[in-house]
Amino acid sequence: MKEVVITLTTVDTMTDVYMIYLYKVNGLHSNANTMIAMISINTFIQLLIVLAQNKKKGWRTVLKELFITMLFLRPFVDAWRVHNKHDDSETTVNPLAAMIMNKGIELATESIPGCVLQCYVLLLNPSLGSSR
Amino acid sequence: MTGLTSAMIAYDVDTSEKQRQKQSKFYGFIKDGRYQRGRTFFLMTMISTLHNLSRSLGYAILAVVDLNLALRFFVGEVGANHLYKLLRRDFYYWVRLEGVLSVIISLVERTLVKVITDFTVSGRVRFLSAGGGNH
Repeated sequence: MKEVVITLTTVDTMTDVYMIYLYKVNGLHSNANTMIAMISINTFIQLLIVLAQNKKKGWRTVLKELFITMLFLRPFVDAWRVHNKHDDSETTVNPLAAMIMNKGIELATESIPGCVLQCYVLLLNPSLGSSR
Repeated sequence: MTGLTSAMIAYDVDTSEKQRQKQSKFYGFIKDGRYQRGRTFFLMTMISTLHNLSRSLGYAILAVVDLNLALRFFVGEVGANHLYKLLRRDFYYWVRLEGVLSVIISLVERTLVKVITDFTVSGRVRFLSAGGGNH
């Protein structure tokens, strides 16, 4: 179960990128830009969380964690740490709380607004949903 | 995917041994046992997915009719929640900060929790300091 969920949440980013590509190809540039803005806000807030989470650690660790977030590998790494009961006394919150925070941010800034945007675009352009 | 993520958040916290030890009356609604856990997870995913679909579609229809009306509706909905929290003197979030930063972080957190609660009814955000009665 856990492995399936980890895989699905990681490939979620790929489907978002594909959605942006589809919008751009179909000339829906403003909608594609809205989606890019949602992903950017999500990444920005997650970067702030990484800084707060690792404020007691050295710059090498902070850079590594920032890099993980920017490569959209955060869901995978968080789930991996929770699964392996990773324990680090220097971090601000435990891996489970960090994963919940990141998932919550992703839900509220990207997944849910993305779903509304997709419904909105499909209602305005019904032909997008069918093969041409 | 949204429903799955929401269910996973609730599942991970509720089945955490530490959380169950700390607040045994609050956590533990997912019964132990392979089949019970699987069934509860599946049902939570379905509830969140269907609820998210109905809300998203509702917002999308409103936006197609009048985009400004949809935005005003969202601001009104979130604003009413924040006003309620302010009146109850429950606006500030648990992270100990001071000054303007505490207001900004609390505003962001309350808005995010309100969105998650409204769109996914995630079991995780039902505790008093987050969704509370709103959930």
